[in-house]
Amino acid sequence: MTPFRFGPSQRQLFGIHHPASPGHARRTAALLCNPFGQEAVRTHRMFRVLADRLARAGVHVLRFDYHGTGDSSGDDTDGHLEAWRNDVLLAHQELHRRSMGAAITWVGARLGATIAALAARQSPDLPDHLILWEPLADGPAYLGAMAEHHRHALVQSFGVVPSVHQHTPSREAMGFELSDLLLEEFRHLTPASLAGIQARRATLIAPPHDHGTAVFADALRAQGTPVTTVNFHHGFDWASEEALNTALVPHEAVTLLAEHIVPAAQP
Amino acid sequence: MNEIPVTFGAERHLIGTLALPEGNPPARTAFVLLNAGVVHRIGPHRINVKLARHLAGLGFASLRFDLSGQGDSRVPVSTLDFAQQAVADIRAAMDHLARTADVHRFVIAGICSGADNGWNTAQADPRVVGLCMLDGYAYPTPKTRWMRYRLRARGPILSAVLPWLRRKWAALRTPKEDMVQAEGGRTPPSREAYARTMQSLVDRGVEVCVVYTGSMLSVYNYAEQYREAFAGHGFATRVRSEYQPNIDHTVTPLSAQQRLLGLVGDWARTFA
Repeated sequence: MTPFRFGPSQRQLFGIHHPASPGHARRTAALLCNPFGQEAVRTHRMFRVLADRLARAGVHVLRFDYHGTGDSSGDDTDGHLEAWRNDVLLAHQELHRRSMGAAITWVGARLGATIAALAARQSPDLPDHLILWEPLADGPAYLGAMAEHHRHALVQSFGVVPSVHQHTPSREAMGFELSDLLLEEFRHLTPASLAGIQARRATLIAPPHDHGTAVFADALRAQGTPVTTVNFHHGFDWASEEALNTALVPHEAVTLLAEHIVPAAQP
Repeated sequence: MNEIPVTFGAERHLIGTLALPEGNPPARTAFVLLNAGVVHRIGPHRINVKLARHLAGLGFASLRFDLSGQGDSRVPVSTLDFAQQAVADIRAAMDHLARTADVHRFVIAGICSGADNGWNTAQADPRVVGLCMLDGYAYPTPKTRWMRYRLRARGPILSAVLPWLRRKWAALRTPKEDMVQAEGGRTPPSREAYARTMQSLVDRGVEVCVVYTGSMLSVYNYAEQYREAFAGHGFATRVRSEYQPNIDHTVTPLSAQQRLLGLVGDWARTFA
């Protein structure tokens, strides 16, 4: 596992490359795209475990933080969807170089899935396979859900929430600041805005009847993308502060993702 | 400011980010920023990143990193238990800072379990000259219990009663020997042992800042509590104690983050 920084000097991104195990090396690589904010914190360990497992199975893996998130340069307010879409393309180039031209699968969870799909619309030939886990198709609804999670997190953390925190500012989501630009992009993230997304092939993972996933499936199929849908229901809360009563690394989720990234590769 | 990903430790199993101030050499004291619970080195709501950058602006180098088996760090081949391994890891972080930034005095800052790990390391390594513990071990006084009910009574009645009911229900269902685990695996030293240790640290010249948040309401809930809990001990007036009811345990609201950065930054000037 090699931590490093990449990208332009004024907006360096943090990445971790998990090289493919030499004994099992395949011509396959996986680029993992984080969700946003607290959801990214929550999935960090899960992606780390997934990356380790894939690397043992001979897959090069790159995990990275978008600009203004995690260990990457930039403040919270420097991050926005268009920039993060370009970060995916930049990370793809980096992984392409490090994996010596392996076919790359993009794997995104939640907002990371949406960002990966937007990046695929920009450059549909780059990913060999697009795996989207509960992609978000409704920005305003997501903002509302984050506001609700924020209120819930404060109640959980304080017990009695101080009066100064009774009102949640609109630019604040569970400890992360949202720029005006990002807020605007969320407001414009609607099913209609996803028209034109395409890829060589796509796998969508979500609980049955997930509306956002259906929107992505329709948009992808409209462009001729072969789409496989996988029903997967889990019990963990994407935005919880800690794992609480759910697994920090849901084994079944890691196994499912690994199977779809490299079929029949279970080290 | 420069941020450099680093791999270090006897087995190169630890991963972190070294933050160095721009331009001039860093101050002679550097900060080590620790994991809080299961959150990786960026800290809850990225607070360690924000703190590292704030400290860099004040001229301090820092290293935020994942302890063995947490975040991105691997589990080493070792026979140490978790607490001992954490101390070994933090000492390795100080070794790395000494080698790469030529800094040989250290402040350790941590939240919750991070505070406990800093506490243990300060006792084991004389290079530690400062300790900042957010929601570290807390020792209630009789006034704490009275304040607890008074403060809860001010809030909505459900908020006041639910946490108490939840704890009572959990306690009924949990065997007594498991209670320490149920509390997150923290085993606080006795009040006497804490006082002895803190006195020895302060006598050694270690600067200490303890911050208690509004999430600690049941065990810490008024500004003078620390001094009253340890009245008669010399260290009680030398330790900087802060009760911050508008900050929560994971520093969620942005205003709480700003308050904490200001508070730690202000205290950090002691080491400039």
